[in-house]
Amino acid sequence: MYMIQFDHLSKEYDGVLAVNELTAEIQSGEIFGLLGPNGAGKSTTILMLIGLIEPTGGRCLIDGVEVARNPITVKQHIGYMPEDVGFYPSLTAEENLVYFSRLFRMERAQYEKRIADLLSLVCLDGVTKNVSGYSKGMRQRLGIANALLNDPSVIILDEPTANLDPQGVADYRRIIAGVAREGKTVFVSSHILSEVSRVCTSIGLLSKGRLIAQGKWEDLSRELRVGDDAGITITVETRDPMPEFTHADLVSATYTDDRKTATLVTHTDISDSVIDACMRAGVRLHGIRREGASLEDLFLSYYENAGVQQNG
Amino acid sequence: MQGSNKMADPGVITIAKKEFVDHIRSRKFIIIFGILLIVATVGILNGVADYHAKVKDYDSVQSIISASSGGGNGLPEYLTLKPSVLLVFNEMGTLFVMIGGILGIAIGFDLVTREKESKSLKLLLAHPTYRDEVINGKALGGIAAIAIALAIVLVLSLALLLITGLVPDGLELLYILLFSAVTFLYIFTWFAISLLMSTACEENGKALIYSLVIFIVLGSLIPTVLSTPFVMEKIIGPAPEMPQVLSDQVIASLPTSGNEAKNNALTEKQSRDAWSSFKEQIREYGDQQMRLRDALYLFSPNKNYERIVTCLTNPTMIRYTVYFTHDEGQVQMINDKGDALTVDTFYMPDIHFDFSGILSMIAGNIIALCVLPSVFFGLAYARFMKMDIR
Repeated sequence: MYMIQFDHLSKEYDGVLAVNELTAEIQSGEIFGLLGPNGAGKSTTILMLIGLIEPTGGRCLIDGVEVARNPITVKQHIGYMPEDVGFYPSLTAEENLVYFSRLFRMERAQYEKRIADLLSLVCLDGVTKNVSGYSKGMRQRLGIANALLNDPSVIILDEPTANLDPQGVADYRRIIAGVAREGKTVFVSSHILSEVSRVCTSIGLLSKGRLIAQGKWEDLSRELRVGDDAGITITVETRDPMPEFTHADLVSATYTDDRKTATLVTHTDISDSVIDACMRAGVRLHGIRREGASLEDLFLSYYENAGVQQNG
Repeated sequence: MQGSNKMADPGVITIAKKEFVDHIRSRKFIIIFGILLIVATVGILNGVADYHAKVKDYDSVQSIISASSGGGNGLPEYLTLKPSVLLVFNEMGTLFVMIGGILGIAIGFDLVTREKESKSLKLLLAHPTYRDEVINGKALGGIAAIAIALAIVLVLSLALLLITGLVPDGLELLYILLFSAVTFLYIFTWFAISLLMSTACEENGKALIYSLVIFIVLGSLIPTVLSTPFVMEKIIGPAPEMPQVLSDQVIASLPTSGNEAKNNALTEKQSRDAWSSFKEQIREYGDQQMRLRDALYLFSPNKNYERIVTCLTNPTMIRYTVYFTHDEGQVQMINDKGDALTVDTFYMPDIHFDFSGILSMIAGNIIALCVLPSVFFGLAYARFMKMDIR
């Protein structure tokens, strides 16, 4: 039984597809990481998943219930923390959580104990000041507590570590691991691959609204042959149209239409081999520039390239 | 997953309770409520002084009327009315036009924008609550805060009345309750307008500015502009022209030929007929203007409220205001001591100052004050339900 299902899910804003025919299934008890650069459509996907916006096409289901048709039923099963989470600034952490508990129709005895436990879990117990005096990291911690308030079966976190300090990140990983042990399904969106790879059991890569890869982190990383080290981006500019570069360490190569500029994402520095290839082909080299490539760049460029080749 | 709890409040009540507490705890509410209390106190005290002055005038008029040979027969009804305790609320109502509107705006303008700015709206809507529960809860919380503020003002006002030795009778209490209900509707209208702005804008500042602009435009600018003679003329046409009136003697003294004035001049009898016809036309024109103005004022919460307050607390004032131009003549009474009372009598439509008479004068305005907030709240509701959350 899948806990979360995306079935050709699409969302269009003013003629632009933010999410394009997203289809994926997530097993119950999985920690799924949706990875993609900013603007890839991660937050839009999440907003459709929690019923805050309606899809323009397709559907998403949680525990077999279609979100757009039964948003209230679905919301009773989920915990959600938005990116840049906001609370009522004039209330304390406890007052905020009491308010949200009441919206879950929880009884006083039930929520008082739960709130005390959760505030202790996120290290905010004993903090009596109003949320207006909180740092972003503290709000993020409170956001995690709020996402766990109703003891949900599905927890959806949008960029959960964005504002956390190293200790906060460590605490977050501890909490997620604990939640996973309870058999809950966790859906995390992030643009930081290293974070997703450490926490999640499976990953989906989202680029320009399309899911370009999905699978276990081990399988995807094996295919790409990456460890924790990042790669290199090499930008090549020539005066004549350049040849097709090939190299064992080349992850992806993107050429301009006139083939006078190429962006190569590689595991190692293959500049020498690029220069050799140009000289052999009689192509005049104009410039070559090397930059560090993040793990995210490697992943995205590889799978985007693979997707383009597959489609082509 | 938590099961439903039958004892727990529905979402709308939970939200309304929180909003209400937020309002009464907020500095802006406390400040404006404080001003409202001061305004009410000043208004009541001034009103009491005004009432005593009016009672004195009334007593002296009555002494003249009772001593004169006519006994006051033929006097308009408004001159025979004893000043009411309700006069005390007249000044308070006048002051409430401004401060009540501002209180309504202050409560409503940031209800949704505040949640957008603090980014709590997304979190709130991610909980198992319908959007209509959120907007209705916010409205209920605001309504409760307005009602509490007004109830306290009403109790304070009645206490001040009693302290100053004025005890309203049953009918006057009914008028006071009606006055309070209308004041509530008036404040709620501005609350609904600012709530609409709050759903339409992204920031508190913009919502406040737009609400204040609407307050000025709907409250003063449009009623003033629409009731200028220029605009009136454009809508109902020009006023009838005054006929040239010359006596026969003057006509005879004019040169016999080549004089346009003489050729066009009417005889004295024709002049008198033309003049009385003109008076009839100008009265009709004035009534037409008045009906149009009253109709246009229905779109202004402030004008509706002002008119209702005047009719409830000082109904004879509306007569002076409305029909002052239709003077018909004067009545003079002299008592046996030789004191004279000269009274202008006005064109009096068949309206009486009893409860049903007053109610018929303000029924349209009361309906308008029910319709206006409903329309604006309906728009705010629709806008909130369709709002894109990103």
